[in-house]
Amino acid sequence: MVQTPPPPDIAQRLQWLEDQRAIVRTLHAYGHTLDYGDEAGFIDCFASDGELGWSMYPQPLKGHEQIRTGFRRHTHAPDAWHKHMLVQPQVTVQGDSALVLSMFFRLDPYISTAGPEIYAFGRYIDTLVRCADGHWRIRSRIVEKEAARAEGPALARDHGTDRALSAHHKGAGHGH
Amino acid sequence: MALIAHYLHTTRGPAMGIEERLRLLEDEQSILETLYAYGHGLDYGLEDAWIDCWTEDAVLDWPGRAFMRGHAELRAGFRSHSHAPAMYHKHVVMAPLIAIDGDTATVRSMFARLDRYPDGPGIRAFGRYRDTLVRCADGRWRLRERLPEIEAVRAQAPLGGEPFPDSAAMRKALVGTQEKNPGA
Repeated sequence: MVQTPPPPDIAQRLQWLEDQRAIVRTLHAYGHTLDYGDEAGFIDCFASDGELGWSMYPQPLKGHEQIRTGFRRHTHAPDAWHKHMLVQPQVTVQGDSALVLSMFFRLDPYISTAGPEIYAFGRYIDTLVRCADGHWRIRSRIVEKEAARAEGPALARDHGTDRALSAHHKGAGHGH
Repeated sequence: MALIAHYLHTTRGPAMGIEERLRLLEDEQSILETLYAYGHGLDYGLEDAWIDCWTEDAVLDWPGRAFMRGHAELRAGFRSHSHAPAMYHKHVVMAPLIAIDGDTATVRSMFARLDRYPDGPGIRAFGRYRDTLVRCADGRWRLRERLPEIEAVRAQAPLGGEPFPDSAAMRKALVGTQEKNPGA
């Protein structure tokens, strides 16, 4: 005879809602910190063994130091104004791990149209973990860039001379 | 502590009871409803609903316009703004980061404004809202302060609309879309 598991109690239901909220907060923080150059805040979005798969690099950035280097090569305000906008996160929590599928688009200013435009859109595939301090951090972010303008944003420029991460890619500022 | 770390780490205490934890979630939802009501009210001309987003002593600093303080000035600002059906636009707010401390909340969120142009819909502007909200006597969270930061703006006026009023903030927001820096 199959036994039906007991329904979750109030504390479990509350915990589920809190987890969802905390996970989405981390995802939102990723965009804010990247756009405004909050390096410590950005790094704090990732687990110490976190991986970040930006399309500009052939391999995922692994661990805080590589992610920090990637962050420093990316553009930020006030040198370049852009918005990493994340919408419609689908969050599946299983214990201390979560899978999230969300849509993103990035807004940038363009000279050719004399206005803001959508630079790119796509999907984030994220795995987050509940860390020892209770906060949810990204263990893995895969960025699927599905569409991008051929023209680069007006204010994007290569910030770095660091060649350690990629000997091939020259388009810094477009990580997503 | 970095700004974002503040939002990540101050919203829930380590020893909160069930009632407090539920209250925090309800507060966050109530704050979101006020942020959403701002856009709906402004876009569709819902004057009373929009005014109800604000405390009596609230301040709003729209770039390029006179600083507003209190309901009477906010109402005048609302009436000088475009609304549907005369003009269709969307004030979209996204990625809100909410930090609640008792009866006060600080929120950082991204915004984009969508408008109609001769060649179709387009993004007129984007930027960031810096907000302070308070829990009012009736339990509703209302804006006490909204300081929009406009970061990029389209030079072309939308269908049926005027260009944004000239100001230092607007000239700065045009920088990224001009061959020459108009503010230089």
